[in-house]
Amino acid sequence: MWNRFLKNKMAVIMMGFLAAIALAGVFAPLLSPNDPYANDILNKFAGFSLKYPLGTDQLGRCILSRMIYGIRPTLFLSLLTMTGTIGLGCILGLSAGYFRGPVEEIIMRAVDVMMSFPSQIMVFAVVALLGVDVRNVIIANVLIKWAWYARMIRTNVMKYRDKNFVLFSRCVGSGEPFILFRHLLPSIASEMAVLATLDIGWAILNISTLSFLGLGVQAPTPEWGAMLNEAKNVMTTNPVQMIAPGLAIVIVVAAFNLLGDALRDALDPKEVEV
Amino acid sequence: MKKRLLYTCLAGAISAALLSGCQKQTGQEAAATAKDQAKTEAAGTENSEGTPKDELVFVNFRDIRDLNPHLYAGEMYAQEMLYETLVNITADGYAPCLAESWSVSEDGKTYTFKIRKGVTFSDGEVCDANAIKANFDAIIENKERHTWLEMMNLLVGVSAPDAETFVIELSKPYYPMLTELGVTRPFAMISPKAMKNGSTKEGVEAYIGTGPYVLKESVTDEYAVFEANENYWGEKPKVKKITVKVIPDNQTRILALEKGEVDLIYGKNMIDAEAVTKYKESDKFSVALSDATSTRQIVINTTNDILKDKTVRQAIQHATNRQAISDGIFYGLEKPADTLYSKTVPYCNIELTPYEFSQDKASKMLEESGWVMGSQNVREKDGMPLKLTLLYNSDSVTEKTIAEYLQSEYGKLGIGLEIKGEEEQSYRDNMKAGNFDMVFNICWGLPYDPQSSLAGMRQRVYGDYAAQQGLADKAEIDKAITEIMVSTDEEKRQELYRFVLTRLHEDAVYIPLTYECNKAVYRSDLKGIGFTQTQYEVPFAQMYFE
Repeated sequence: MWNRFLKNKMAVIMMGFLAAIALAGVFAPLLSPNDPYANDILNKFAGFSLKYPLGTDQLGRCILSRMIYGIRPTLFLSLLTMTGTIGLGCILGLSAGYFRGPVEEIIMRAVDVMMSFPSQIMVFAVVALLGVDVRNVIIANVLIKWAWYARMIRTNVMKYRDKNFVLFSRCVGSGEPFILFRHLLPSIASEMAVLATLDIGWAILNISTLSFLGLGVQAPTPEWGAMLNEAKNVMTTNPVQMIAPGLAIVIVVAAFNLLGDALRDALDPKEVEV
Repeated sequence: MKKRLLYTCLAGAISAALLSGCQKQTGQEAAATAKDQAKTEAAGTENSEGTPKDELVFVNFRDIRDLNPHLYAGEMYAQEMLYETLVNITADGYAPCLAESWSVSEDGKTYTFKIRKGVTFSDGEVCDANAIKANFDAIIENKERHTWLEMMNLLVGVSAPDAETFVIELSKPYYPMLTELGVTRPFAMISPKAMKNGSTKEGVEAYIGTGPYVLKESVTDEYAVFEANENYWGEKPKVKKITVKVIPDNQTRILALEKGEVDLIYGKNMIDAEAVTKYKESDKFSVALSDATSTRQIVINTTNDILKDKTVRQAIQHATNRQAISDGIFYGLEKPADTLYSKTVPYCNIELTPYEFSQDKASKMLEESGWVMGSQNVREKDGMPLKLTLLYNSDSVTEKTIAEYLQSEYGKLGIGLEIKGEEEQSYRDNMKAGNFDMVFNICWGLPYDPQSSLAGMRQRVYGDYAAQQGLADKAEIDKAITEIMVSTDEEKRQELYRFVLTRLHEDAVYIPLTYECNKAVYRSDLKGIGFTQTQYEVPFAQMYFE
């Protein structure tokens, strides 16, 4: 599997690119030229210069430094959201797919209910109920989005639950946790990896959207969506300011999506050879 | 793999083409509507070739809402367009409006107004002394709502001996009486026919006044259309039709102005200093700035556990760099403010020592009162971190920037400032209820300053009342304010004002920031843009196109 993955150029490039971005976030204090919070109000909207490679924003803060520090909330919060969503979806999807019967009925009807609401509106509603805070944004995203993954994982589990090796395992008396975690989970792991990668792209967009609307990450924390919102407020007078955060979001989300596609190709050889 | 890339690119190209196709279509649509508009305009001006445009498109950040003239929920500029009061307040003093003339009895307790003849409401009702009495009755019925006006507490009765005479009797002489009658609300006259059984406190049937404009049509949160009142008694306005669009976002407003969808942006918080500076050089658009109207300030809640300490409040005053806010955020358009009221406000030209900007002094004061630097660069005292919340109005174009600036400035001194933005209504509600540590506020501007805004501090009118509850000398200040209102001796009054303003200054309840001014950006062929005494009014009646 690894060999196939390594042969896929797109996957490797994207993986490398995203790893570089993540590292830049981790080593933000070393990489950023200025303090992302230090303002210099008399030097706002400065153009590109050696001191401020991407200029300054409406408070005279260094945009490049804020972009680099912004990787932390943008990328790591979306990773957290993804873990939560996939985790919850996985547990419920596994149990629904494996146990069938009343368990499946209850879970799947709950999934139907969740899916009948437009997810974005539901996220807004939950954030409005719980209060404006990053934590609540993540909780809201996890609570709303798990249903999609639960359904997909259930379908995958159903593909494997009646396969011979599972039946044999049951015959020799393996316990249910053993079958669930040793047989079924590894079988669906590759597809979950694809789902997870695609989900991060969605989570980044969603957290940025909420921050853009003022519901997510609060000032002065640098976050790409929030930075885009700040830039929007001076759109007519200083249009350059929105380029950096806008492009960054597009590129990273696109990278995750391309990586997801490439992963699927690498992990499921039958489909590519067409 | 390569094929897929190709497909992706193709898909991208196709969707881009589709999008641009849509755009073209909307472009065509726009052109079509523009043509229609041109046609109707041409039809409108057919008889008199070459007449200038007489329709104006104005923009506001929110809907006109409930324009009941006796309550406070509507937009004031719209109320000013529809309704009139007994007297007008101008730069040179009081001018006759619905009252042609008036006289005050020698003891200062009885006001007799001679009502203008031949004035009708836009529904045809005659506006005589009886109609005015009906209005006053409706206002007095809801007396509790208007107690910020001291005259409400002093009122003995109103009467209309004949159709042209209207009399108000007070229990004590009251010097700002005519000012209170002249402000936008609540003493504006609505047609008695539009009241609900002679009452207005539960709402009105229609917005019918005597003013230069009538409300033709309004769609909530979209637009409102005003047309000139054909039967207006005074000089008829040159602009015959005013459409007010609702655009909440500053940038969208500016784009709408550039595209010609809007002719005028007007107001204190409707346009940011960047845009004003940008259009100063432009020949397509013009900029007008008023004199300072009111003080942009932050109110400190003295009941807060941290802020009840006067030294902390004074330290925050010293930590605020007004000059940098004025230069950096407003490009000097708004001058830094040292005191709650500018010295040009009546009775406010008194010597107060401003809190000069000094971070050393501020941190020394904080140390003195026991706040020492703790972990994470936030000061602590007895295990309590020095963390405060600053509430701002997210509909205002500059408050957020100021808030962010202060957040980082105070942060340097170890004051953890959290900033929280709310849309105008909930911001006001929270301010009124006292749910804040620190909050942006303005003083009310002329003609309300200083008497009405001080009077308002004695009750839950705005945030002032709640914020001052922690002051040891609150009762004393209130008593002095009440005395000011009924004082007859000029010197005594000045002395009382001096006392109140000095106390408030030394108590450091208000952090004055800048002196706000009204800003207008408009198409260059629109003339007659001016500013009136009340900062909330937009003087449409003087505007015309060239």
